[in-house]
Amino acid sequence: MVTREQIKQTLDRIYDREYGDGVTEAKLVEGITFWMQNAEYPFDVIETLVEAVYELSGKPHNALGWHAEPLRDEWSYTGEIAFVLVDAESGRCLTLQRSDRPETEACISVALPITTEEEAVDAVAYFLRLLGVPVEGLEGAAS
Amino acid sequence: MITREQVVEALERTFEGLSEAGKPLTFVEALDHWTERGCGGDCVAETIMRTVAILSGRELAWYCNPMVSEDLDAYPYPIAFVLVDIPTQRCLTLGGVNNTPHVTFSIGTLDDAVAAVGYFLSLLGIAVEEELLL
Repeated sequence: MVTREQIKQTLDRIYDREYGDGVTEAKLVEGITFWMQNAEYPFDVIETLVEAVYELSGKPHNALGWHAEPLRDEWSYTGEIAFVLVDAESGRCLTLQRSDRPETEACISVALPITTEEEAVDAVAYFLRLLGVPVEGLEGAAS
Repeated sequence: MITREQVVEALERTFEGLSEAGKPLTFVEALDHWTERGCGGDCVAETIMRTVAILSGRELAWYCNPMVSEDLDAYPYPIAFVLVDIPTQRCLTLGGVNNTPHVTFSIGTLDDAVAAVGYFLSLLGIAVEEELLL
């Protein structure tokens, strides 16, 4: 069972390892804040989230296919990132959401808000659940 | 066998059916807007994928991402496309060394758009004229 605290620690450890200066400890929340304040493409935030999913799920890097796009309105980023996640072995799109209503089209991306540390943890928990990894607080949730 | 003419007609017809406010009159005009000003890429991409769905008759879902950047010299910007077959849930555009779910095309002309439609139809196993292929 993966806990939220584990997710939080993993995110910060990866962010510090990949984007820290080696002197002061870097935290993911700094990357998120910088993205929102400076409207720069959040490569570091996306890469950290994805890497945390690999680490916590135990999946090798060739097991998943990702597409991620920070969403924008007319002026700036909205704080949401659209993700498409595919199981590379089966080719199955894990983020596909079918609708029971014929007038509603199926959607293959999920847009997740990533404006705080808690939302980043929620996003990782969401992807872990899609991969069948039990997450604290989401034990009974349907994928 | 799907011909180039069929694809061109289908693209225009599909574009006409889009209910986007303030859109250009024709698909070719929409391509011009996209190529010259970098706007309306969503409309261009959506038209291409809806055309694929119509011509194939298959139950498909897609995600399109016009990759607009600040670089004004980069027109036309590439568009990333993800295509999923709904009944099998399979991502048909999955590939490459990193298992990326998307393929990317620069759609600047009608020929580019036709070629993209041809590519997706061939992914779906639908026979297309050779000149449609990229």
